[in-house]
This record gives sequence, structure tokens and C-alpha cells, in this order.
Amino acid sequence: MLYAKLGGPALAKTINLVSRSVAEEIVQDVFTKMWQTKMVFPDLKRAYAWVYKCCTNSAIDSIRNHGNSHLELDEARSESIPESIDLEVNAHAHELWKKMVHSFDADEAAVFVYRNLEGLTQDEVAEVMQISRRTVNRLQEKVDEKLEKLRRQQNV
Amino acid sequence: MSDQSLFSKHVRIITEDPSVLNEAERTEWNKINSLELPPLRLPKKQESLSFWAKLKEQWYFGLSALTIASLALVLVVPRQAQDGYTAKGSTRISVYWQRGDTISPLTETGVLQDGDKVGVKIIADQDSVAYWTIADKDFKVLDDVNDIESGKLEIKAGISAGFDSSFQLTAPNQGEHLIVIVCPNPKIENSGRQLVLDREFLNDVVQGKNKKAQDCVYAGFRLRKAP
Repeated sequence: MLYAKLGGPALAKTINLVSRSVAEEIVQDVFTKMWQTKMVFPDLKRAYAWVYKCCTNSAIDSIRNHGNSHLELDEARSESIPESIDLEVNAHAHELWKKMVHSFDADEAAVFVYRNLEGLTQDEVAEVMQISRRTVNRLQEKVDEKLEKLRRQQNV
Repeated sequence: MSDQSLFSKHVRIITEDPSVLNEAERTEWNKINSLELPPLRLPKKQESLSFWAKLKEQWYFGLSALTIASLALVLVVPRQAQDGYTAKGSTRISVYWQRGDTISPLTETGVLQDGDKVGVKIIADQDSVAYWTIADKDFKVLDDVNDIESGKLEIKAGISAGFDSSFQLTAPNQGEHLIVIVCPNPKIENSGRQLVLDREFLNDVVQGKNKKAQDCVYAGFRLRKAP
């Protein structure tokens, strides 16, 4: 069953963005939707890309609808930050994420998560979001502009 | 940050045998296994909608579609202010690049670095359409036709225009070339026919058939030297 195979990675990924309890709800909802709509994927990678995208979008929606309380680091999430990622860089990116999440639109927020928090390449972002690399590039520019604006405001 | 993204680690964990995972993937794999995944709670199957409910749903859908279509018909897009340049001669294409707050014209290859943005300004002596794309060092076009078509720029005679989006160098150096194609806007009454022509033409460009449309200007700019 796909849930047994993809559920763990999906939960581990979502815990990076929201609290454990919210992450569990999101993963449940995503797999329920997959079951209800009887989705068929050509391979596991494509299936996981879809799950990955849905989990990210739902986490972003959840934060937008319920405020930053969903962003607070709980024990499970702080443990789940990948060790291979430089902790200082990751903590900085998460700080930025807290400040910026409400000023990004949905796609920009997703690109920020994929690129700045999870280290995806532009090609991977394009694959997950099912958009062209050119569109990813355009979104990345907007994200960079907003980050630059924030940096300037902080310097003033 | 590690070179490997979270997504690629997860894909490897899902698709490969644990014995072939690298150290970072194995760490992530251990972490995933330590999370207790709650069982999936699937909802009971909903009863299908009654005939009348379905009809009502279709009626609402039809009404909304009609409303949107009417709005689209009466919507007037405000005209943008236009630059006042006048073309004296044929089509001119200028490429510029931006690093931080500095914008410079592209005059030589080799100055561009990762993260630099590249933009294009075009001025033509007649109404034209323009496309841009990126090719690798062997002139293999890296975009697909839809990508190229989505970047179509309509240019008024003598008015300087630029593509909406600039190109940012973020991928590994492939000795990229920026290719800009500017063609006189075909005066064909049937707009559907024009779209088909555009797509055919772009397909040929992407497939490297070297089919040249008359009166079109083709410009290639080497952005980076291949390593």
C-alpha cells in the first residue's frame, strides 16, 4: 500500500514545516484524497512528488489560516531537521520562513520551502510543482526580491 | 547545506534498497523509521448524489461559467504607458545582466556567474513578435515549445520592449546560449491560423531543423563558456 511506503517520508517532510499533530492531519488528508480520487501514478517517484507537493501546500495553507502557532518548533520537529543540513543555515532559513510566510503568495511560499528549506534544485521544484523550470525561475526571482526587501528593512 | 535535497533523499529511500543508501540518506531513513506513522483512517464511502442534486450542481456550474465569460467580454485592460524610442533601421536586440543592484550590458562572455539575471530589450522597425530560449553549448534547445510560446512578446514598431521574465543562471554551467527570435507580426486575419503557424515554427526551432522564416531575426548570445 502506498501509505505504508510514502507515509513516513511525507510525515518527516511535513514536520519540518508545521507541528507534529498538524503534520499528521495533513498526511492523513493527502492520502485520503489520493484514495478518494483513485489516482494512478506511473511510478513511485511520481506518486511521491504528488504527495510531497500536496503536503507542502497544505502546510502552507494551514499556517496561513491558523497563524504562526503552527510554526512553533516542537520536540518532534526539532529532531526531524535533517542532520545533513547545516543547522545554522537551517535555523536561519526557518527564522526567515516565520517572518516571510505571510508576505509570499502560495506558489512563492512553496518555492521558498523547496529551495531554501529543503534544498531542492530548480529542476526538482519544477518536477514537484508540475511547472516549467522557467516558471520556477520567475517565482524564485519574486522570492529573492522579497527577501532582499526584508534584508534592507532590517538594515535600516 | 548538503548537496542532496530532502526530496531526492526521500525518493532514494522509497525506491532503493536500504543497503545502497549513502550516509545522509541512511540518517534520514533512520529518522523516518523512528517516527510512528499513525494508521490511515479512510472515510466511509459517501452515498452518490441524487439526480436532482446533480442537476442542481450542473446548473450552478453553468451559471458560474456564464458569469465568468460575460465578465471576460466586458473587461477592458488599461493600456500601458509606452517608451518613446523610435527605431532608425532594423531590429535591435540588447542583452543586459544584473548582479545585485548593478545592471550592465552584456558585451563579453565569461563575466556571468551563478545567480546573475539576464534580460533582453528589443526594438523593431515594424510590429513584431519575439521569443527567447536557452540552448546548451551544442545549441540543443533546453526549453520545450510550451515554455517558449509562453514567453511570446508582442512588439509595436519603434517601441522598446522587454520580456516579462529575466533568465537567472542557477543551474550548473552548460555553456548556455541565449537565443532571441524576432519576426514581423504576420497579418493573418484568422487568429487561430496564426497560433498554429507559431507552434509549427517553434517546433522546428526546438527540433533544430534550421527552418528559417523569412524576415525573422535570429540572435544568439553566449552567456557562459562551457567548463
